[in-house]
Amino acid sequence: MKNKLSILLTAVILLLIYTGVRLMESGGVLLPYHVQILSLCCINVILVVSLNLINGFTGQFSIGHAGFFAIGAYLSAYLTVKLQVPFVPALICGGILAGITGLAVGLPALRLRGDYLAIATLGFGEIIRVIILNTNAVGGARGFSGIPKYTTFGLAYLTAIITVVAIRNFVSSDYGRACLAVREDEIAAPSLGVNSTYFKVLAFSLGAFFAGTAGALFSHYLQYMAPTPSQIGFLKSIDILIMLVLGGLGSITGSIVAAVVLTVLPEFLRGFAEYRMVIYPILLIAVMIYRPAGLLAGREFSLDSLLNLFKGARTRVDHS
Amino acid sequence: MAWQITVLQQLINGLAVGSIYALIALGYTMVYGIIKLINFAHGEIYMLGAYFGFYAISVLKLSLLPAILLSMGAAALVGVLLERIAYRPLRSSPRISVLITAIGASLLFQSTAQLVFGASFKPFPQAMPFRRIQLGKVFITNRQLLIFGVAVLLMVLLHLLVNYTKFGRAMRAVAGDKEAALLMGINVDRIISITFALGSALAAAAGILVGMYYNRIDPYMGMMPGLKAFVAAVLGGIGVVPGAVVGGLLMGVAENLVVVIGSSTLRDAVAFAVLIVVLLFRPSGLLGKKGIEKV
Amino acid sequence: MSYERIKRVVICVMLVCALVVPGFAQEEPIKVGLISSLTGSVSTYGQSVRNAVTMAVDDINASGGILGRQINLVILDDKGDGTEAAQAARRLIDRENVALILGPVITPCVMAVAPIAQAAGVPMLTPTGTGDEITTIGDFIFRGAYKDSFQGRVMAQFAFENLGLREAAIIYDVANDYSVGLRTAFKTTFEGLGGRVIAEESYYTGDTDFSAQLTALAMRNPAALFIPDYYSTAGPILMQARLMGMDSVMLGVDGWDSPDLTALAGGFEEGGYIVNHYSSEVDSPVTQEFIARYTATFGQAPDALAALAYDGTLIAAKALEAAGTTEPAALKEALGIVGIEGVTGTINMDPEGTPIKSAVILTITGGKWVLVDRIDP
Repeated sequence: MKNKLSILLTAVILLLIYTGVRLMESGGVLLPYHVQILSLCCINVILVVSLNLINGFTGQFSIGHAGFFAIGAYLSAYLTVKLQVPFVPALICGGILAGITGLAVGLPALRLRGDYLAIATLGFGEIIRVIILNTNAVGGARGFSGIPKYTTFGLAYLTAIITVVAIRNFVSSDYGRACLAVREDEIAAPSLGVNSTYFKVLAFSLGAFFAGTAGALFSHYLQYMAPTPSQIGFLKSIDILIMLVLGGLGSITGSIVAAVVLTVLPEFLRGFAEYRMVIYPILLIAVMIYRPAGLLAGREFSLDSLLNLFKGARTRVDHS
Repeated sequence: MAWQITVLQQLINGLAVGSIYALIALGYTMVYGIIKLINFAHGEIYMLGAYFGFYAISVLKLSLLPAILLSMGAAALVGVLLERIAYRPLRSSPRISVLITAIGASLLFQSTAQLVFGASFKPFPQAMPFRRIQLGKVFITNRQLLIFGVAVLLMVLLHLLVNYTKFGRAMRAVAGDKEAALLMGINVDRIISITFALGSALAAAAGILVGMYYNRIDPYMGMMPGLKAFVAAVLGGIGVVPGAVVGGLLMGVAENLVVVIGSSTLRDAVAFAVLIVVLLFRPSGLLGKKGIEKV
Repeated sequence: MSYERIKRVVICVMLVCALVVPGFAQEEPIKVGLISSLTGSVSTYGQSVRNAVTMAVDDINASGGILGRQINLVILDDKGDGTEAAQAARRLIDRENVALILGPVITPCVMAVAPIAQAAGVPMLTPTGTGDEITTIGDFIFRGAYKDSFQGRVMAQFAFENLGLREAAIIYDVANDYSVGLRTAFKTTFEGLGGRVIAEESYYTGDTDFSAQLTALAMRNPAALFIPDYYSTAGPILMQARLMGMDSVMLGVDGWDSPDLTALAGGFEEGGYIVNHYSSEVDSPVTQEFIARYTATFGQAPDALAALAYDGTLIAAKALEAAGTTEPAALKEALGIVGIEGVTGTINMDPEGTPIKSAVILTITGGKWVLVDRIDP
């Protein structure tokens, strides 16, 4: 967004949303039940947008994202519970360790393409889970309990905003264009002076870092972590992937919308809980066959475009 | 003297498990060889095979052999339908779309199976009494013999099919170069369907054997074996039929030996570690050919 | 009279009835929430619990309800996942305003819900959660089963003192807190008494092939093998162990209790010993009647989890009755001291949250569970 006005407007809108939520909360219109859902929405937004950086913008097929999430969750919890570290530094440390792990995963990932990379990342995710399962310092199979509730809606919301802004800026910068080049044609990119290696690893690490912060927020929200496949294993990775795909690879707006909708929707569909896991896959397959680019088809919502519309000027299409 | 016996015993156990992995891995490898797709839902076909066998024996009161045949046929049908409905429309789509569809199909089968068959672990009807055969200091059960027997038989049949029939030639042609095969007048779509049918039938056979061997089936039983069989296929060289057999047997034996040597705790991680090591250092697998990516 | 007029009169009468009749309606029902794992990989247990709780509530309602009010049971699925359980808890507390939460079933879900219930001051009673740390979360958290540490200790003592065993091996699920907790308790007690755990092997939830681990154990020829896991896994382990030629005494836990054990174990569970909450042959009419009715209603005999869930509901109901109100603080107090004669025996609740109840040792002979001993806490 290059327009100063649109930046200001966005900031105001975001602030209004936050204030609105807090007001409704204290007024009793929004129950803790609703605030919990909203907080989880924010955490999922972070997860999906960070995965989008790796899968959508850099074209790498990673389905082990829950591993980075787990590292952030467990390390930050360990720091706050066992070492009395204050929350924000613990959160950042969780993100950093996750980012370093992203580096470790990204480096070997260089040599793999497509399907193989997918399986390898799945494998890495499971290895991380097995390691956590066998680490008694963080509870092992019994899980990690007694994590203090440091995550508030405000904190989750703020982190989500920071994540989206950071990734959006990254994508529209030169770094981002390099990643896109890698996505479009990994082999030709170096001939244009783009070091594929460097940018693949960068994307992995950055995506992993944010996933780690999401994890830290999560563990300090739920106050308990269990090393199960649905919470930190391949089932969680697939959950995030489904949100990403439905929203559209390469569309940040799509990621946000999908994350929110797919976090909120199950609550409305509680009557159909037994059929949810039948409906979701059918939906997934249908989207892949009929609208593979996702709901937003790779387009972004841009305040610029909206304002230009009002001004009567032609809408500039932002290539992402 | 004791540990040698243990190793020998573990070898027998490992070969039994490995035969199962091999049967499943064959399906993966054939499908990958022909359309470069990792059929994530393959593990679920194995699961469905077990359930078909369960119903064939307990409801239709068939004996073992007809039950196996019926189950293989039903699973083949499921495989063909899966390919037709979910994968064929995406033939020319990017890899990521197809992979996600495969994941979706896998989840769909699991959830539907849970709804239809119930979530509980079902004991498998025992169509054969238990018998142990002592061979010196080690022993083998009649079920293990059954697994070896059926697995070997099916693998031999498959080998004959692929290498000595016209149809097998057509399969290899499509796997080698799809466009050229089309030009040669081969009905590529039909070949692909039949490949899926064959792979699914093998997986179903594995499913029934497993149901009998371990005496228990559930809707989620396909997840881990499916993943491990895939690792086996990659290990042996994905797209290479004998590779699946070698990979499967190796995986089974390695898993069992790991327990002897080290800790049983990290057994699952071993499978993934093997996968990653193979992918990094020899992605074409043990028996695969190295491919060069052309620009 | 014209048709129009008749219509108008009828509508007026209906409106009057609609205004008046509610005045004769019953008193507001008491809302009780149940969080159970109806879908997901542990759904077989979750559905057992749901069945039993539903039956218990129906029974209570049929006999007049509590304090003259009917129980309105709100059932939510946690899919075996902690996050979903937390969502379900919040919904029950904030939107449904339940007086009490029954469940969840498995420890990861229980541990996610407990902090929420405690902070909100809503009593929670998990009929099946056995992890030791569950009740440490707070005074609003209760359970209907004994702790893993108690059960593991009981079996170890029985093995050492009654069976005279001095050596034992253990095979357990390293990814399941129930199995891990029992294994630790057994090992600690057994070794504390002077016995030796000569070998241990582990596996992961969902594994079906134990030949590797069992071969390693068979080599050591242990006098006893402790298998702390649910019937769905213990069954195959028993079968594979026996087929392998192991003649160790088989020791088990309450999770073995299921009508499907014999089929899954291929008959090889014969001669095994377990710790359980109750014995189906105990001459308790309550127990017998429960088993008969459950079987008739749901088409299969109840497993241990169903029995525990039934009793858990009875405990909650009795506490509500004793408190005389749905007010949380009073209900919490009542839950800490109430006692019932349930299908799993005499249960007296303790303010710490764990019931004081005796355990029984059973052995399976001729395909039937037979009472061997009874251990009071």
